Order: sequence, then structure tokens, then C-alpha cells
Amino acid sequence: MKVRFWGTRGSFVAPGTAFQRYGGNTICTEVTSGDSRLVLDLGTGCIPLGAALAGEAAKGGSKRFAVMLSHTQIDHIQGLPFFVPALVPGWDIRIMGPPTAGRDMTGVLDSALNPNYSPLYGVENLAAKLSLTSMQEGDIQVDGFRVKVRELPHGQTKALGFRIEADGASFAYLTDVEYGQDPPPAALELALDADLLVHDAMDTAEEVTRRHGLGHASPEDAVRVAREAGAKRLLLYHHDPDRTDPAMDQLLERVRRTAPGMDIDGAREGTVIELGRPAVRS
Amino acid sequence: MRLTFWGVRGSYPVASSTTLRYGGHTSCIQLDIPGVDTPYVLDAGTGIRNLGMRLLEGSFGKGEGTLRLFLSHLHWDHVQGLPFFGPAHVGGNRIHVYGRGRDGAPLLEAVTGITRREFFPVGMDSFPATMEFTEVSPNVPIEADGVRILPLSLNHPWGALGYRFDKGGKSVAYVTDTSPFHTIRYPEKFVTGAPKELSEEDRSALGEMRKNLVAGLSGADVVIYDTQYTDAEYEKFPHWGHGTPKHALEICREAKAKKLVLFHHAPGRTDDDQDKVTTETREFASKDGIDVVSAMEGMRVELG
Repeated sequence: MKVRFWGTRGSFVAPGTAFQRYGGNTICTEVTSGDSRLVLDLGTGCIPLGAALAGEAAKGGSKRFAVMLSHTQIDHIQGLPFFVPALVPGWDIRIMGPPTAGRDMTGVLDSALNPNYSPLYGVENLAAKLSLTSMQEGDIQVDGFRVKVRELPHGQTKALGFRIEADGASFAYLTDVEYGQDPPPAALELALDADLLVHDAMDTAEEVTRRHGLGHASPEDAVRVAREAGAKRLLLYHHDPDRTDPAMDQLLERVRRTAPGMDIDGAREGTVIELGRPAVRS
Repeated sequence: MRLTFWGVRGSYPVASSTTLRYGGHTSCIQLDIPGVDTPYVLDAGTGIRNLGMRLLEGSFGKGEGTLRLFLSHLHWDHVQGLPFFGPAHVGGNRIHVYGRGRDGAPLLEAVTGITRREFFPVGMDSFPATMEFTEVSPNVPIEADGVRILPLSLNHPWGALGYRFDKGGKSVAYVTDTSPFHTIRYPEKFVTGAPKELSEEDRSALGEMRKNLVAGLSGADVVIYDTQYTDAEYEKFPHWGHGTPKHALEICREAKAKKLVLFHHAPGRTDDDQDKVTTETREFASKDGIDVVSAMEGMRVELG
């Protein structure tokens, strides 16, 4: 199983020289195993991903994959209208995400692309074959991946957290989460003994208090989940849009001192991580 | 008058190593007018977040600021910064929003819709600053702070407004987003290209829009214009509602405008490519005596 980060920035894009190493695109991560591909969230990072997929497809690559949205706040869907595979016929894309405020997946995305906000005039004008489904808690199979879906608290709403298993490896994806005091059992269940935990770490501990209710975690929260769940490697994710590369380096140094022996880094745009072994094909 | 460019990119914000000089933030310009202590802000693309941080250093940080925000239209790249605009989160500040709603979705409702619960954690109606919404109409001038403001109709899917600002013999016009006026008139639905031929009705409506725009820009000191596409790109994508430098020059030439600022750069346009666009457009413009510059994040333009 391969995990590739296309967008690691939270809330708002961060263009500019100060953000070149950790990256400025908003949330998007690609997971592949064999012929299966799963895209997690559709922030602006999905725009370069879409261009790459179109390039692969031109050389015979697959035009079929699934997308799972942790939730539909704008930094997690803003790339969709510019995501090439969604815009051209011939692609077959399944998009799954949580219903919100009484709208199902079709309703939410249609409202984001209504003619006031988008020259697409609605989700039906995305030319790919799209299957839009609302996603609930559960244990499901998505192509070659076993996926555990759990609801996690995100400010005044919920976000979905995922545990993805393939090739004998496990990857937990917990973004846009705010715990209050203790991480909920669902967070620990998703991260249990995971080979890789990717966790929201947008706010410092002080900011979590000040911005209480806006739905984000601190690096300390991430470390606590990693430690209690026994995750083998932790990558901080959903970086604050004002956190420059040097500030991110300093934050990591500080966090590593609080968790000696733990493998911790910041998720960086463009990084590819290989987990487990590819399945042997018969 | 002084213009400060906070976001110059079209369609979506770009965080890439190839766009560092011109910048990746979407449409937002600050217009400071002598004798007016209210900043004017043109569009609320992602560039407005940095403008907000700057404004918080002054009276807006104390909840004592007032500004006017003019929205060309509500496509995401022109409004998505607004929920992240610092002054909107400080009680006491006043933000006057100007623009145009559409059938059954007035401006207030359409703008606040971008912070519905599925898109943003906090609804705009509960932001601490006072936000007031004023609907404007094309070709019907309004006045504020002794500034004459003329909204102009543009050729864009679902419509867009340009604005011209006049005070003390100086003038600035903001013209984005717009397609040229000879290939397509956008119907009230999605289309995947331009028609083979324009109907008589469309031709006449586009002619009227163009005539009003040229008249509205007459003698303007600075015209900021949507020049997202090269000619070849426009041929391929006439249905997205954007213009070209040649088209912008043609309008500026007829209007006898003095300076053209190329704006709303395509997201895929690298810095080096934008340099070439500037050079080429300057060559075309030199015989008309029109000064040409490409908008760049952080750039300032002073007018007397």
C-alpha cells in the first residue's frame, strides 16, 4: 500500500516561498494498492493529482477509483470543480462522504457547485460517471481496501475518520478532529497498532483552547492517540495556513522532545510512503 | 488613489513553486482613495485573508474600522476568502458588501450561503462584525464617501459586474470576470462550448453590453481586466467566461484608457509564461500609448 500526500495544509491554501517544503495545497491524500486507488478528501491538492491521473490514463492507466471525504468543509472539497477526472467523460468515480445539515452527498456537492458559486451550474455537469453516496460508520470493502469508518467530533459537527488496510498494512487517517479532553474510543480503535497514523495537528495546545469549537487537534492530541493506540509512525497533518516551514520544523523538534522514541514527522506534499508488501498476484 | 494587489490568480488558488513571483492567491485588490478613510476592497478571493491581517494592525483590530467590499460575482474564487477575513471576526467593525444577487437568491443569502454548516464551522450571520449588503445594478451609478461608483455588466456565466470608481479627477476600473463579446452570450445553463453562430438577439445584447462597458471605461486612468487566457486557450474554453490580453487592449483602446493591468491569471500560468504575456501585450499596446503591466501579488499602483 502506498500513501502519497498531495495537499497537507488545513483550512486555507498557503502559497508562497515560506511553505514550499511542507506544501501549501489543502487536504488531499492518495492511497494505492495494486490496481485499487482511494483518494481521501478533495482540497486543492487533488488538482495536481487529477493532472497526474489524466497523464497515467493517457498511457493506459485505470480511470476508475473511489474518493472518501472526511467531511465537506470547503478545504476538503474545493478542488473538485478543477479535478480533471471529474470533468471529462470516461472516468468512473465513486465519491463517499458524510451527509451534513440534512443534505446527502449529492445535495452538498450540488449546492457547492450551484450557479451562484460555480460556472458548472451543478454537480450533474461534471462529465465523469459519478456515483455519490452518503457514508456512515461501518466496516466496508472499497475495491482492494478494507475500510473502517468512524465518526469523530469536529467542532459543532462530525468528521469521519478512516482506517484503511491492504497488503498486510494499516493506515489511520484522522483529520479535522477536536477531542475536548480524552480522545474518544473511536479514535483509538482506528489507530490501533497502525503502521501509519496521519493526524490533524493544526492548533497548538494554547490555540485549541482559544479556538475551542472550531474543530481541530494539537500535536499533543496526535501524540496521545499514537501512544495510546500503539501506532508505529505518526505524521502530523492539516497544518495551520500561517505555519511556515521553519515554524513547522520547530514545532516538530518540540513535539519529538515530548515523545522520545516515537517516529514523528510532518506530512509533506509530494511524499510517498510505502506500507506493507504488495499482494502476490496469482 | 492607490491600488494594492492581494490576490491576482483566477479560478483557484495555486500553491506551486512556479507561481511564486506573481502569486497564487485569488482575486482581491485594495483601493485607497485620498480623503476617504474607508478602504475599498475589490472581491474577496483568498488574497483577502492577508489583507485582513494587515487591516487588523490598525483600527480594524480595535473594532473601529469600516470598509466597502465590491463583489464582481460570487464564484468561489471571488468569495472564498471572506469567511477567513480577520476584520469580520472583530465586533464593532462594519463591512458594507456591494454586489448583485440573482432570482430568488438575494446577495445577502447567496453570500452567507458560503458558510452553511456543510462548508464552514461558523455561519457568517454570527460573525461579530456588522455586515450590510447592498444590491447594485449595472449602469446605475451610486455614490459613497464622495466617490462615484459605476457598476457595469460583464459577459460571464450567471453574470458578473465590473466597477468604475471616480474621485477628484482620478479613476480606476475593475473588469473581471468577462469573456469577449463576439463568440458567446451565456445562457442560463451550463454549456460546453460557444455556438457556431450567434442569434440576432444575442448579438444585439452583447453589442449593448460592450457599448456600455466601453462608455463606462471612457478615459479611465487604470483598467484592471480579466486576461486569464491566451488566444489559443480562449478558442478551447470560450464557455468559462474569461478574456484575453488582445481583447482587453481592444476595449481599452476604444475607451481611451491610459493603463491596463492584466489580471486573473490562469492557474497554470507560470511566472515565466506571464512575463512573456506582459512583453507581448506591451508590444501590441505601444502604438496606442497604453501602459501595460501584469498584476502581481504585493504590487502597488499609485495614481497621482
